[in-house]
Amino acid sequence: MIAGLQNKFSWSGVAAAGAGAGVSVWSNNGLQLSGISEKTLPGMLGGIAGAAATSLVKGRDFGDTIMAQLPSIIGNTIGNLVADGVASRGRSKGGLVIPDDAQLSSASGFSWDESAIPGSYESNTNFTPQQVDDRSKVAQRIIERDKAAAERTYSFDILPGHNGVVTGQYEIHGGDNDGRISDVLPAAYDELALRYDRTTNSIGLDRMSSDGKATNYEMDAARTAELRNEQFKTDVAAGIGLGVMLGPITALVSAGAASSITTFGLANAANIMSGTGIVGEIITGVPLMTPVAAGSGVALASVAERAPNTIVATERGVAMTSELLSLQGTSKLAGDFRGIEGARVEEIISRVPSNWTLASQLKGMGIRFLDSTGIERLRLHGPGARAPIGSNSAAGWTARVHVPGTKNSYYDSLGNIVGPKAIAGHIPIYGNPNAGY
Amino acid sequence: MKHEDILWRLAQLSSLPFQERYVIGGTPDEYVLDTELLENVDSIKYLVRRPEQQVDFTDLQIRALEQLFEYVELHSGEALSGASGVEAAALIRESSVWHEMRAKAASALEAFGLSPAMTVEEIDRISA
Repeated sequence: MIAGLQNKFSWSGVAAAGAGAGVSVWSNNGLQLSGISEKTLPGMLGGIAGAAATSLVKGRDFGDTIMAQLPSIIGNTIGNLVADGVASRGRSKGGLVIPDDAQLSSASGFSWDESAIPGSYESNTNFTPQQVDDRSKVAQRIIERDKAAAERTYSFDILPGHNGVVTGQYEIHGGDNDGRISDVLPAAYDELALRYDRTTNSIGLDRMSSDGKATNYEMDAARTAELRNEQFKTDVAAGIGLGVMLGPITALVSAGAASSITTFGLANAANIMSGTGIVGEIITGVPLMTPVAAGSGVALASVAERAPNTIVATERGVAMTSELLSLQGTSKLAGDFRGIEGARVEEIISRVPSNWTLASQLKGMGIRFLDSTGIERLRLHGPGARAPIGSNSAAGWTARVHVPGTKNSYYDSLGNIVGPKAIAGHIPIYGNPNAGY
Repeated sequence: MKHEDILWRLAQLSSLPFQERYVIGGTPDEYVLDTELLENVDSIKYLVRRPEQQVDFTDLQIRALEQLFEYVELHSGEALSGASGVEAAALIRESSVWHEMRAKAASALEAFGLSPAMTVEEIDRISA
């Protein structure tokens, strides 16, 4: 929990103010925006700087101040953001820092974006001192988590001609898909690799075979939660996160960037426009052009709904981009929902097996996934005003993961089986203050 | 589909005492959402309506379930329209929509040979 933030935050206030922002990242060169051009920066930077100034003048905590100013910061930013999103369609990710990297970067002072660093990933030439320093920082960061299990002394050297850094015991890689720290002293034909996986934003262990192929990826839930918490703090401090999760499409429409949405023609348009739905995936900066209505209780999966630049909206106003839905099944943890407390909706969707079917909730504000036999296995549900005060369901978005083969049992975030009424079975996800930030 | 996978959902929706204890009187540590009661029933239609599942049910059972599905789909918006816990409690206790849903769930239970007059503890048992 970030002291002084959660109890001041107003979901409805942010939604009413109109949110929708880019993902800000800290890299070696300072603040960058993923997929967003420089013209978006002044508004957001100005807002953040303003918050800092207010903090100084009033002696308030910077985080409190930026939360208080969030609507105006985002309001100033949204126009440029949307324009950038349109302009950047089809742009490759090369040279850009993807959000998960960004959040790790901001937490560690390290950029995983190898392609943006000349002479590293592409050409395998030696690292500059700065690059070595970057790698050392992230290596130290991750290895520190492992110290309790292995009391070792670490030193950092360049591995010549190789895309990595060798420590006393470890070789550190940063690649397009993940970052990995491998023990360079293989035990028999195996070696153990500590891996940061970008797709799931998790830290875990890989058992590596002698041919270098990873098997048995096992997520470390505690470390992942720790990393996620730090990301959350970074997001909030940068003025993104909760506000983005609940940004109404109204903001896009008023910015004149998504004119087709003004002719929504959906029964749920009012819900979406008023921000009672989630449009968290606007953070991708991808323009949202083609709304698709989803019938209540009807399975949503179809080719049309997975087409680019499409909003899939449920009757109660939960809006998802086709880009989000395209993540389904992409995680190596697909089918494994351990550790999703505090997880972003992108991560959760990536862990949904590709043969599960998306459906809207009946009248509730949420979505669900049915497995190939038609059994509901996962439910993501919005905050419920009718839920008991203090419960996870009242506080924010939650996930329900049904245990296969049982009538009415659910997993908690650690993978334990709990009863249907247990609070732990209503897992708080990203943006839910009960997620333990 | 096993009938027991259906019966607990019907029993929870049919019972005002169950709803009093866990929906209206739920605590932060142990609760059932009104939405869940309806979603749990609604989600079984995906299974019941599969052609290969039809042989597991009598015509009477199918008819009772379909009547419940239809009613829930048509009226769940009204049933869930309470803006607070207090409003939700009033709806659950007093509204005709909730009365009718409980009655239809009870009829479906009877079609499966179960008495809708189960205690909360009995419902808990068949729900586990």
